Amino acid sequence: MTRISPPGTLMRTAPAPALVRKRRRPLRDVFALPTVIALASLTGLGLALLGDGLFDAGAWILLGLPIMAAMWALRTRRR
Amino acid sequence: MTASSLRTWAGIHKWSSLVCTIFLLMLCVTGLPLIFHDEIDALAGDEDGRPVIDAAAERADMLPLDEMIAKALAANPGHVPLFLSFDEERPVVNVTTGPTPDAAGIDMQIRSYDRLTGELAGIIAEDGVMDVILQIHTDMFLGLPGMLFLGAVGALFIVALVSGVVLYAPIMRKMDFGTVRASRPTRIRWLDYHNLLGITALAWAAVVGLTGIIHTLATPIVDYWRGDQLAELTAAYAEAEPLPASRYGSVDTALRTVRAVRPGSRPQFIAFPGGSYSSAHHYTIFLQGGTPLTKGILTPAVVDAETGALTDVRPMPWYMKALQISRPLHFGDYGGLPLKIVWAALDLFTIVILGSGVYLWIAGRRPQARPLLQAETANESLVAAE
Repeated sequence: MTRISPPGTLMRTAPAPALVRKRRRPLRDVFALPTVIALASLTGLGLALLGDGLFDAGAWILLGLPIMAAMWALRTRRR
Repeated sequence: MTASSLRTWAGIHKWSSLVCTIFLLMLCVTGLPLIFHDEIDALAGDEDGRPVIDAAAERADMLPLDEMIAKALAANPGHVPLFLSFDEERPVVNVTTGPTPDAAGIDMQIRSYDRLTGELAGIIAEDGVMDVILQIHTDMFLGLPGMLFLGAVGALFIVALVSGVVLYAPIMRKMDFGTVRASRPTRIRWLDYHNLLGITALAWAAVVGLTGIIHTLATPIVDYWRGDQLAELTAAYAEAEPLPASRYGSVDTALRTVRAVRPGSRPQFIAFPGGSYSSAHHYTIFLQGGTPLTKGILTPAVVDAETGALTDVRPMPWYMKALQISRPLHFGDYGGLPLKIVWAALDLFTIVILGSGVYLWIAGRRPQARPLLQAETANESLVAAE
């Protein structure tokens, strides 16, 4: 599969990973990360209810995970 | 997934979203400042680093509640007391009065008194910008019908989330998580943004949506509780005439009675006879626990308003607990400022999801637009080329 850098995008030194596949991924793969993110969010939502201090800090990290995942994908998974 | 079931899910997603998008957008936009209502109120108010004193603390130098109530009534001749609530951080109690025990919100007045000095600390007007925003967010100034309508909007939102997850699968089967096809036409690119933000914010959006729906049912839920559990607690008084305000006994005595049977619990507010949260004969004192979870779940203690004798203390039924636990989970104000910032970020995600959804619909209606979804049975590329 040849890959041509689209005009206007930054050239990367390393070749971009093959993000688009020829073969279908099983549903388990498709929903693996979304499930992790959803469970982290729900745990975070619950954790802050249970107490203050460390509970809150845990909640910030866990509920921050969906935001960080989206930011990570927007930075590294553009093609 | 077959072509016809894919079409069905796409139709469900399109219509459940389109019908409610404008209202969801309103909820997201008005919700954003509401997340920070404490901070915004503090900016406008006078909370300038004075020592934190809980108005519900048991201190010898605090003036009696009865005195605060008497002051509020003296300022509003003809009024009866309706509610009394305790500030958590200032030694201030808020006394709500109204012309009748079942007065409407608009006829009520809330006067705040300092329990250390006895001075008027302010009159809560509830007509500031934040109150207007809250009112739009809650019922769009339409009262109960407005609330229930927004509940229906929330239900459609949940349908849109579920159908969105179903549609996520066929689109993402040939791409790694989070792939954004930025070099492809605008429509494809925005489909990828829509999917990425949608799938990451999903659990949060579902929780805020569901707890929002529960809130829209607050009025019927509280009414049911009053007719069911509260009526049961106060069954012995069912036949008696409503207690006139002239015969209300001491609130301080009632509170002491409750504190004796529930030591360590903090009263959050006291409902006077005849209102939504009490019977016609009782002070209902709502007690809260110590953690963010139990703080929100109130336990009513019912006290004879004339004699100050305890009638009963009973934990809330499940539906009142559900209503109360929905409050922090909807507002996001239970885990400090960082949690609120996360809340705001996910709210902004939702705004982008809504906007991109409308864009995808408009762009898909152009005659030359190709379908974004294809059934998996076709061995061709899942996502149609531009």
